[in-house]
This record gives sequence, C-alpha cells and structure tokens, in this order.
Amino acid sequence: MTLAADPYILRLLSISMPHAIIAITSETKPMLIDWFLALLPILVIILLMVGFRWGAAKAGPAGWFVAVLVALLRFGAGIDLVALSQVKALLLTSDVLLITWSAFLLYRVADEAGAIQILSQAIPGLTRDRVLQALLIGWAFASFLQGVGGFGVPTAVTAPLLVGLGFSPLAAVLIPSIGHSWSVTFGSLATSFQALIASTGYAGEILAPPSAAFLAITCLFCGYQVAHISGGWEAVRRLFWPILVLGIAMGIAQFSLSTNGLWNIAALGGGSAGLIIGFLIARFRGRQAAEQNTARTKGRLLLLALSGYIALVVITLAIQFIPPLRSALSIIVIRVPFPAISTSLGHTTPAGFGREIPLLRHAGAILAYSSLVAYLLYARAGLYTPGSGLRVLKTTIQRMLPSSLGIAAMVSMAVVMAHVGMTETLARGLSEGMGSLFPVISPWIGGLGAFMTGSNTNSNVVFANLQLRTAELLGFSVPIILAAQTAGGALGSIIAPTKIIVGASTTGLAGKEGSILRSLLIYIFPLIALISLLTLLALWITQS
Amino acid sequence: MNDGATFRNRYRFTLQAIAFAMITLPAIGLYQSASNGNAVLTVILMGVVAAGMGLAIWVN
Repeated sequence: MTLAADPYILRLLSISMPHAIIAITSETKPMLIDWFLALLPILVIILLMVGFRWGAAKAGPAGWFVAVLVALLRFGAGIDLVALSQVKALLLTSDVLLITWSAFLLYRVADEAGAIQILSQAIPGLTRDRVLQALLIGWAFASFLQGVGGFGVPTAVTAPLLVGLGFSPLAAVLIPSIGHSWSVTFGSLATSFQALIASTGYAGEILAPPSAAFLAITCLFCGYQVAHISGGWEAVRRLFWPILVLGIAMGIAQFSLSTNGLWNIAALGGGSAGLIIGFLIARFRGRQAAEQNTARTKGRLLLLALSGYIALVVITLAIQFIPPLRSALSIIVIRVPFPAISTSLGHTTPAGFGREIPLLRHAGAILAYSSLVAYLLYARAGLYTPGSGLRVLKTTIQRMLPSSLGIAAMVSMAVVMAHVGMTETLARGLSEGMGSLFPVISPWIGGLGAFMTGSNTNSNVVFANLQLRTAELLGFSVPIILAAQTAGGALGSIIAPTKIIVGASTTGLAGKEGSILRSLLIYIFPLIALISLLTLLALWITQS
Repeated sequence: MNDGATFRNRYRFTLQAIAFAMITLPAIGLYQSASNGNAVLTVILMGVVAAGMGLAIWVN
C-alpha cells in the first residue's frame, strides 16, 4: 500500500482538508501499522458483535477502550484531546438519544392505547398478503418516515408494527432497515445531502442528479430484498411487477424533487408516492380478500390509531414550512464552542462549535410533541386504563437505557477516532491504496464512515472532502464520486451499531444486535457493491 | 450462579443507570478542566468515564 508520499499531493490534501493528518511520512511500513491500528477498534467491535454475539452495550465500551489506547499510544493524542472528544461525543449522543427515546415513547403511547393492535388488524384488512404488508409498512411507510423523521425513527416505529403483524423480531428489524435505506440521504429533510453540499462546496443542483439516480436504482433492489426477507424467492417472483411499479414510483418521485431544488422534501415525496401507489396496489390485488374480511376495522378507529403518526407528519411539516413557527422554536439552541485541538503528530481539529442542538425543533422534540398530542387524543377517546401514563414512562426508560449505553460508547469511540486522525488514516489508506480502482471502493468508504458514526450525515462530513480531493487527483468526475460517497453512506448507516440497537430495543432483541448485524450484512453488502458498479458505469458514460 | 452474577442480575437496571451516568455526566467537568488545562481533574474525570465503560461491559 502506498500512501500520499508526493509532496504536491500532500500540499493539496493539507490545503483542502484542515482536519487531515499533516504528518504523513513516505515510509510504507509505519503507515501500514497505523492503518491497521486505526482499524483495530472497528475490528474489535465487529469481532465481538458478529463473532461472539455480544450486544452493542457491551461491545461498544470495549471498542472505546481500544480506540482510546491506540489514540494515546500511537496517534499522539493527549488526555486533553481525549477529554474534549468525550465532551463532543456527549453532544452527539444527546442528539441521537433525544430521537431514540422520543420515538420509542411515541410507540409506547400508541401501543398502550391499543393503536398498534388496531393497525395490526387494519392492514391485513387491506391486504392479506404478508409480503405486501411488509412492502407497505417496511418499504413505503418506513421511507416516508425517513423523509420526515429519520435518525432511526423508521425502524423504531415500524419494526414493532411488523412484530404485531406476526413477523419474527429479526425480520421485523431487517425489513424496515433495508426498506428505508435508499431514502436516507434525502431523508430527515435532506440533512445528509445538505452536509454533502456544505462540506464540499459543490452546488446541490450538481450533486443531486447522480446521487438521486444511484439511490433510485437502489430503491428498486431494496423492494426486492424486503420481499425476499418476507417470503423468500417465491415472493420476489410473485410480486416482481408490483415491486417494479412501486420502486419506480418512489425512485422517480425522489429524483424529480431533488433535481428540481426540492431536495429537502425529496425523500418525503418518494415515501408519499410509495404509500399512495402501494395502497392502490394492495387494494387492487387484495380486493377479494378485503371484501370477505367481515372483521374490517372501522375507518374512524383506524384514523384514531394513526393519529400519533399523523400528528408527527403534521408537526414536522408545520415546523419545516412555517418560518415564524420555525423561528419561534429556534430560540433555545445548545451550542458549545471548542478550542482547536492537536495531536503531537500534528493532526489538528480547528476550533469551532460541537453538534448544535436546537432543543425545541429537534427531531426528538417533534416526536415528543407528537407523543403528547397522541396521548391526549387517545386519553380523550377513552383508550387508556388507570396508570397507563406511568406504565408508558416506566417501560420506555427500562427499554431504552441499555440501548443508550451502547450508543454513548459507540459515538464516543467514533469521535475519538475522528479527532486523532484514525478515521482519516483509514480512508486515505483505502482510497490511495486502490489507485485507479478508487471508484469501486468509494461507496465502501462512505459506508464505513456511516457504520462508525451511525450517520450518513457524519460520514459525509468526515469523508466527502477526502473523496473530492482524491477524485480530482485521480481525474474522476467529482459529483459521481460524491454520489457514491453519500449513497454508500446511506446504506452503511443501516448497519451502524447505533441504528441496530434502536431496532433491537423496540422488538425485544436487545443483546442480540450481533445476530441482526450478521443478517443485515448479507443484504447491505450487495447493495453497496451495486453502487460500486453504478459508479463505474456512470464514470464510463461521462468519460466516453 | 455465583454471587457476582446474582448481584448483577438483581440490580442490572440500577447498574446500567450508574454506568450511563458515569459515562455522560463527567463531560460537564471535562469541558472545563480540559479547556483550562487542569490535568489532574481531567485524568480523574476520564477515569470515571473509563470506569463507567468498564461497568457497562460487566453489567451487560
């Protein structure tokens, strides 16, 4: 493996990436050692979770210990740097936990009122086809939720629904995880895409077409994978055409919106198209079964059961599109300034603010508002028994605490690695070691970043600039390479331990995150490989 | 089942809560100590965080 030994390359990298390690040597051996040591915390996590089937709350702290030791002993970190990284990690952890706790709270509010049971009875009334149920909930509805919420919300909300419909807990986590992966980049009101724009300086209009095209094609394969998880190859063959129609509808909707400057609602539009088309397909295919279903749930009751989720959509859209409301809710922002911090090897993280948390308009706050509205609606309808409120709070705390431990440890590990240059070392070793094959591994770098940080957004922030400069140096189209980065990041975020924990915690699989990860890898790796192929194809088309 | 495992199972939730507090709460003091160069306090607080991580491994 040869790493940036050319002084010209080094100068370019140091100009473009103030975060980069400046102290790169031209000697191969030390860099190889550094690369493997930088990889060690990730290897430990993977080994413990996949090999020994440890839960994330146990493997995460182990990975943190390894990362801190490597940072202190090899990457020139001082105790102050590790300490400040820990503080930054707390901000990131809070950002994630606000959402996971609130999402589960919303689910418990609905479940305690019997809403999940009502939905579980209603969807089989729409269609008795279990695979179609999985596609509607785990693909279309999960993508819709990613559009408005994101941050693990799709899996947290829909996995328990699928369990209620009789799917195994493992399948209930896999289906929405795979199902919404294509909508991550433009989901959460395009947070990840905005991060890509911000960190590269490229216009959204230039970056959107290749990114949306890659993800639209991925969307189709996600649908077939959901069918495969739900019913095997027989289901894929039986529902080939409906999935094709649904996938094209969602992919085109997201592509059209994002390439016309509306990237902040592109995933929301894609998910909405999926719900509408999916509903029509289900009614068309399941008409006979639906007519025979004498126990069909009344419309009013169904609407009441859905009210918590309808509140989520309405509140999200109101905050996004009513500027005075958005401004009013922006008055409390947690913003902590950090000084510049350097390792003894010269890797510097410039001074700046840590993760900003707009407390009142945070996705977690929106979920909390929705929970409150749903609770009031359900209570008014007389769906609660005495003590329901306390039961909801108690079970939420009991279920989410172990998950929170895992998230805190994983985020801390990732932040330490980023601040001492371990993440940069990994990415640079991967990309420059591959040379002309760089486009093939470009999405894998995005996926690696998302796996480590639990977020497509973070992956774009950490790796997009590196991908950009490497693409320029190697003469590849930058927008296509950046599309590969964010598409890979979207898919990689699904296998991030932090997200797996969310799914596990809402389906009673806490402590079995390793098994979920193993199953997810089988489906996600081919999708990232697909992005590699699409990247090569796109580069070939543009260059010819 | 040995006493340690019994204790761990009986108080699992409480121990998880303590571990979580040990990992997260020192951050407030760490920000001040690391920014002001107070090495002793920083080492002590990082020790608390590390102990919290260790407790998390043991209790889970």
